[in-house]
Amino acid sequence: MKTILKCSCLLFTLCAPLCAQYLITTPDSLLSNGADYLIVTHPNFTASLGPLCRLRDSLGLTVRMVQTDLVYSTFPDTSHTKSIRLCLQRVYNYWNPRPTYILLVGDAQRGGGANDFLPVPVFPKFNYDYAGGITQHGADNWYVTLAGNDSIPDLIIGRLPVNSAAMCQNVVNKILSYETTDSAGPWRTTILLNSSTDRQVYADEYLNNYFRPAGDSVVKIYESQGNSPSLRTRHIQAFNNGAVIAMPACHGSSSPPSWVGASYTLFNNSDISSLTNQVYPIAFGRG
Amino acid sequence: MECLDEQLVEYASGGAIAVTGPNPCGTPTGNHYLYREMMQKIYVEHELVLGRIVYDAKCRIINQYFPVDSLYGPAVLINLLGDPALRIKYGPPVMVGETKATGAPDISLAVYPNPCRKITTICIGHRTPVRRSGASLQDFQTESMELQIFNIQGRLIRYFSLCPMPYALCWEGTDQGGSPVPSGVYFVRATADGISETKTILLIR
Repeated sequence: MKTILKCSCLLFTLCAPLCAQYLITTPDSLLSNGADYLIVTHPNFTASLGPLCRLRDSLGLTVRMVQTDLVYSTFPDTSHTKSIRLCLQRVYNYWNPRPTYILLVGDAQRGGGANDFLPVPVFPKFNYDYAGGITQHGADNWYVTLAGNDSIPDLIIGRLPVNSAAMCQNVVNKILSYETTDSAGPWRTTILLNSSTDRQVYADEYLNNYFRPAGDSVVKIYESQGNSPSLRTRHIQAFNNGAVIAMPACHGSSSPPSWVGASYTLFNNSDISSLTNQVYPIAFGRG
Repeated sequence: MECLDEQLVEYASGGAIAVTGPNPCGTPTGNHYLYREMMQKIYVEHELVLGRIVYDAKCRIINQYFPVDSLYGPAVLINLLGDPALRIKYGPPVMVGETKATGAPDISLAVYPNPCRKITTICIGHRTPVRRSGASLQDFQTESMELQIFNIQGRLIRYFSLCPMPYALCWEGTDQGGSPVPSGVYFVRATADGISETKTILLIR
């Protein structure tokens, strides 16, 4: 415990020059404050987030950051997820201005564990069948359903699912590069569109209703066009050539983590090490 | 082991800047409706803030299809792995020295869903397609505009000053003080450079 406290103090000292002005350190200032952009982070990642705070600040957003240890101590409850939601409820009800954006920083791991830095609420199954018999899903949406008795989110939420300070630094660097680099080029109207055989009708709808009418350059990688080696190679090439949007209209698999079709693998986690793209797509992984 | 989506976001030498997912899969229709809304946000409403795209799409699907699990379930469960304030770099950047289009604005106003239960999205844009032929969105933007919402008695209950078009915002059925307004008929009016467009909103609580 002493080691942890020492590390926390050292971490705070190191990050203080970078993010002290954004970091909320007392319960009172957590109860009553205001921001456009609120970061809720595990303490391990605070030091890595200074550049992101400054970027958002420079773009006109009022930024505040709070560590989960302060959230848990200020809003004690039977679980950390409930504490976080209580905190966000307070923020929603009393902060002025009320944040537009909530950014959670830290990975979650079902059932706890070493990588459960910032837990995720687990939703019970809905009435329809899930692929693979999965009956529970982690979803951040519950954290921001703060008004009314419904599932409609009331704040905009995202998460950086990082496991280490180095990984957080990498992700922040990518965001800074994306937002601040003048990266003109054909990649900004290039779409990577893939499809499993059974989802081709949906891929074609996006193609015909949105991408083609806009005049975008579409790299189609459909399962029907090849086999696993050729499809995987084409995905690596498409990433590395640059695309602004990736739309995987296929299935997902967890062993290994992959985009898959009925017969072939389209792209899997071992292919990631072959990626060298310096412009990054948003992947709208629709499943 | 981390899922593919996480690995794409975390990979330092490439990969993706953000991912929507993981999601439960298994419900192609529900997922399709959700992602169709996201594409609608980008390609029709020209929204480029990532979190807003995901948020508005989720709100519309949940609002419209509750309580049909297979349709609104994916919207509840979808996660955004990335910075919600990120602005997608879709489309060619504005070139220095380009001139803006001149003349009176040609306003289009859309409200979706309508009727609405809790939240509705009001989209203000141009009737004329604003992209292609190398043109960027900014080429056609007016300097400022105003959006007003009136109740059936004609009383102004909410107003927004917006800049620039195209623009989309969520109205949560509240007045200027943040208090919920009752069920009924409301009128939303967008005005830019003296040109107005009005639509009716039916709010059902």
